[in-house]
Amino acid sequence: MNKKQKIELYKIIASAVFFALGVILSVLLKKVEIIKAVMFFISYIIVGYKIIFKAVSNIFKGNLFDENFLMTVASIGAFVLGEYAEGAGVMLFFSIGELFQSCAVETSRKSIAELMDIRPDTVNIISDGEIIEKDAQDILIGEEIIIKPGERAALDGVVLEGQSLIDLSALTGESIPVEKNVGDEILSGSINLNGLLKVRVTREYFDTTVSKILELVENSAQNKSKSENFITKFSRVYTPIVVVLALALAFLPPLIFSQPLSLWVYRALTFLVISCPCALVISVPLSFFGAVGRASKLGILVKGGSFIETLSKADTMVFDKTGTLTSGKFSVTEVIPQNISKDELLYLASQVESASKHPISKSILNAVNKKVDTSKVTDIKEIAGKGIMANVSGKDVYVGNYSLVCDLGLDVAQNNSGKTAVYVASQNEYYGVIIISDAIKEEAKEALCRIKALGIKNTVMLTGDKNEIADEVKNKLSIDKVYSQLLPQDKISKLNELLKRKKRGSVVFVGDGINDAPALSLCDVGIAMGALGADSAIEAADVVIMNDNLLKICDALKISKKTVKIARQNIIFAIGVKALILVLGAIGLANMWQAVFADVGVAVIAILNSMRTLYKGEK
Amino acid sequence: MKRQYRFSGIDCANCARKIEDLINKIEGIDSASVNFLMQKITIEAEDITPEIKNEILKAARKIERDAQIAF
Repeated sequence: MNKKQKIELYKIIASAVFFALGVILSVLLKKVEIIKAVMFFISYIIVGYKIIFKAVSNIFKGNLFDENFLMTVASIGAFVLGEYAEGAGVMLFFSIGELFQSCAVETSRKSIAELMDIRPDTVNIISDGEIIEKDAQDILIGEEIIIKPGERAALDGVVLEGQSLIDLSALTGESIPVEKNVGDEILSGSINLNGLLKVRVTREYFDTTVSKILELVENSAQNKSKSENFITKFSRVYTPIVVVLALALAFLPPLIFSQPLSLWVYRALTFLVISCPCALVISVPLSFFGAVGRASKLGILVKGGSFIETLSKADTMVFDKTGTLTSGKFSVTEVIPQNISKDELLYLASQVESASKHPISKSILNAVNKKVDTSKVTDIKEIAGKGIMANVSGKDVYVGNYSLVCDLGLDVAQNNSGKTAVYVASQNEYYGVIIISDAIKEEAKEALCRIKALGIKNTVMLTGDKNEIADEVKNKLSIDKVYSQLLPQDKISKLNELLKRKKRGSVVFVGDGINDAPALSLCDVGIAMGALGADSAIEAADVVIMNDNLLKICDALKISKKTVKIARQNIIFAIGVKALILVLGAIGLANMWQAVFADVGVAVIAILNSMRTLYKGEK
Repeated sequence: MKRQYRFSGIDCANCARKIEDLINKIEGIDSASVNFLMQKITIEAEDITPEIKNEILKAARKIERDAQIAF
């Protein structure tokens, strides 16, 4: 509780004491009306003066019908009717409800702020041989800063001295630390775990990766979801309607059926108390607010409540292949040896390729787990357009494409997978073929499976690759539809087709943010993956997944579904209970006590319900 | 120059918005945004002088009496 809330609490306690005195006196001294009236009035004024003041000042500002107004009218009305206890009680319970709400909002605001408080305000610099603290906003590009073990980096930079394990979990949601050495980049928001690092700053405070990210999430409140907009509109028309209904209820029955005026005025006042829309006005935005915070904790940045809502309705998910479903890096995916073992084949090839800088050579070298012994490799020669040859342990070994083995006069069947095939042979012997391709991400199969289970009916893959490669990925991952051999502009037209064909569900595009900014902005929700450090992708997408793990899409889907469910529960529950009590109040079955309890109770339950978005939903 | 300061004592989103409007009217300030969620205020101005800081604090206190800004 902050200071204000504490003051509010003391007022409520004081008011409750006078309220209790009033109740006791009205039992003891049945005949002395004036004393208990005074007690209730004191109780009323302690908590009510501010609300009445607000109601009056809001009338002058043009906000005629707000909850302060409703409560003021209802309580004053109760006093006029001589129902002192109810007049004071309404104000007292309304204040308790308000205090609870402000505490709940403060709690969730704080937890979200904590989730996002990943950028320190100060840095350590060396000045005259001593480490001193300085405001991070004062540091310019090129200055050197010290990051101690356990500290968070405030600015982006390059390591000049030292080495350490770095925890990037605040940025990517990935908890496994990464080792950083001299020359490596350090991103603001990451935590230095064990070593002392000296870092040269490469970006100023407001240009750092984390600042860009925070700016997005902080501004996400502006992209309001439909539910939020519905509530805003709803409360705008709702209160005036209720006031008109209350007036009708107070005066029509007495006029038409000559019923007692005080009875119907009392019912109308009850009606006003229950009609307060606070439960909705607070709880619905709070649930979206919580979801955005929760997602960012998992390394998923959502640019607004509206995207959470659209994502929850997704039924088609379109994936870009390279860099999204696959790693985007070439690696050895298959080794087909002949007469020798797989390891021998790979090792032999790596010996020949050991001096080459070609990407294919690199992927072969990466596939060999041990250090390549090059002492017996001599006479490395490049055969232009075909491959490389070298003398390994006194034998000429050729590594290259199909035409190379044909030139050698060997009878070898060509590999038809459509992927890059590297053949290994000597003058008179064929050793086998190494297939190099863009490997499917490890978690892709599980992710696709879970995405289906989460209600995505159609999964589509778009790729510029050949049909054979596309079909293989399609079969391995059980994707519903694949469009291959597409030029970049074809991807857009395919996406447009899908968007046109959609009926109710929304279309999500998942890309790695490289060259697919148009697609990301075209579809209903654009998800950019592995966007850490890629500013353009962060700008184009609606949802940004900081690392490139496909399972995060499942988390995002789950959070969105849960949030929308909670918001809907709150809307139905609050409107339902209110409508019920409104009717009961109008026909005289609910009194003002029940009304105020129902109002505060509904608000409390709805707020507690919406706070669930903050704490769970990813597992 | 652009500067960010933490604040406290402003406890409703609506008040934060009102304060933002007031600060944006202060002479010498190009743009200001008050972020209720993060409890931070971002000021862009040619130069953030002590007078401007004083004006900002005044504006905040006009809406929220207990507002504190960590300049």
